Amino acid sequence: MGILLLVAAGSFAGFQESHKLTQREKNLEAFLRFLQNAETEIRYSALPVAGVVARHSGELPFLRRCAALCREGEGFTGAWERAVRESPDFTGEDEALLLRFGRGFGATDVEGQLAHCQLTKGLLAQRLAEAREEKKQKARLYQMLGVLGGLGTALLLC
Amino acid sequence: MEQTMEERFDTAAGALCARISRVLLGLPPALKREVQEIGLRAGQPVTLCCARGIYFLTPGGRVLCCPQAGLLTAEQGDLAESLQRLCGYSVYSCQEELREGYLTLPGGHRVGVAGTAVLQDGRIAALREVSALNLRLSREVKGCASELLKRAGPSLKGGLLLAGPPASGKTTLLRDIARQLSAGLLGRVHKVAVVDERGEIAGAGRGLPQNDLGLCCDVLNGYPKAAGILQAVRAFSPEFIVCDELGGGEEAAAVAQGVNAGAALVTSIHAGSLEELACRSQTTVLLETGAFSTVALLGPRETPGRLCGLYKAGDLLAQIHGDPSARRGGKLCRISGVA
Repeated sequence: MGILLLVAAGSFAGFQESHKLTQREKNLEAFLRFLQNAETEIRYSALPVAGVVARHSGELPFLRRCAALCREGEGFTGAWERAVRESPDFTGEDEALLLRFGRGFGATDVEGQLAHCQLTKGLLAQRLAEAREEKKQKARLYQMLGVLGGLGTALLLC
Repeated sequence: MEQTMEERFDTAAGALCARISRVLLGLPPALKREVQEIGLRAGQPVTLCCARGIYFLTPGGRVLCCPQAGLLTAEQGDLAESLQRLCGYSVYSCQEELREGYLTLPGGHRVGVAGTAVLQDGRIAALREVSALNLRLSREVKGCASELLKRAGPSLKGGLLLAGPPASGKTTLLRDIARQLSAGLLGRVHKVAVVDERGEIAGAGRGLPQNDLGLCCDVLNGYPKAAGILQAVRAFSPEFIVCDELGGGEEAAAVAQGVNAGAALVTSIHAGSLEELACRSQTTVLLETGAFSTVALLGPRETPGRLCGLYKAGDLLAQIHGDPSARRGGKLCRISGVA
């Protein structure tokens, strides 16, 4: 029974790490879709940034949080920064990219904003390619390591 | 819900940068009721324009009549932050207004914006390095147009041109005229269309008028005046069209079309006195359309909303054309003995 539990725990840890890689890819893809929607809104409806975030926040919890903070009266720049920092979905360089985007979002005219979105999309595409590569290389590895780690520990303890 | 003047002041002041709005929000209610304009100039003290004069503030919120050392000063960063907040952190959604040099806030407060113009093909494409913001507070004074409407009487149906210097209460009067006509306070309910190019009359926020314009008023928010007048005539068959600050030739042409379609026009024009009014070429162009039977002249900014005179448009036009003394300050024929 103990052996089975050890194997299960190791496998679970491996799958968790693998899931994180999948989730990161999904989050980056969702943010890329948000940027595309934002571009359309800026170009055709001139909807203010808080409205853009509220309307297209669907898939990403940090966008919903940002929209809620704006509704509560917090300024957009502060709300964006707080929502990104509180979110567990983006870390490290991904988080830094989102923070940079938030600081410039809404700060210029239409042409400037479209350029800002394009630049962020370019940087995001690089990060997304990295995330996909990392997932391809490491997802199965983490799963195997988890299972084998669990088995190895169980054998050592036997 | 109707806002008091203090609440209107708080709404407008709260839209400025945190450092300055904190001081403004702490001002005494009596002063908040009096303030007409809040001025922010880069590197200069924050000013409050009231009918009685200009006041300055200390960082602690003390109000002073004369400038002295240690006043609350607006820095360039304060202006940049204020502009961001005033635009709802979305400069792109206000870029047309910014090109024109102003922004309108919900509630109808108007912010004049000055900075360095970025030109493209000889036309202002954008503004950078904002150096001054002038926040003009919108007022809703119900009943302020009663005297004017009483004196104008049935001649209102022939169109009314409201002339006055800046901050003399023209927009506030127009707002009340629209409300009284459309609410049926002048006998029966009239169909009114408000062409609100700068959003100051209705003060629309998220598409809803924030000021009371009565029961039967259609608001064409953000429409250029010429296009709005024609659209109102075509689509809403109004009895009265109300709009602010008519000017150019295109607008005069739209006015002519509007008047020939059976709608009476109530609008305003900048002029400090009757002589100034007679000297402005815009006056001649507008009066020649035949859209106005009456011209009302308002008093100076010290007495906002005070009616100084009511004149027959035909007499004014005749003086402009026929009697050169009109251009040198000659007497014009008054409709009634307004003080």
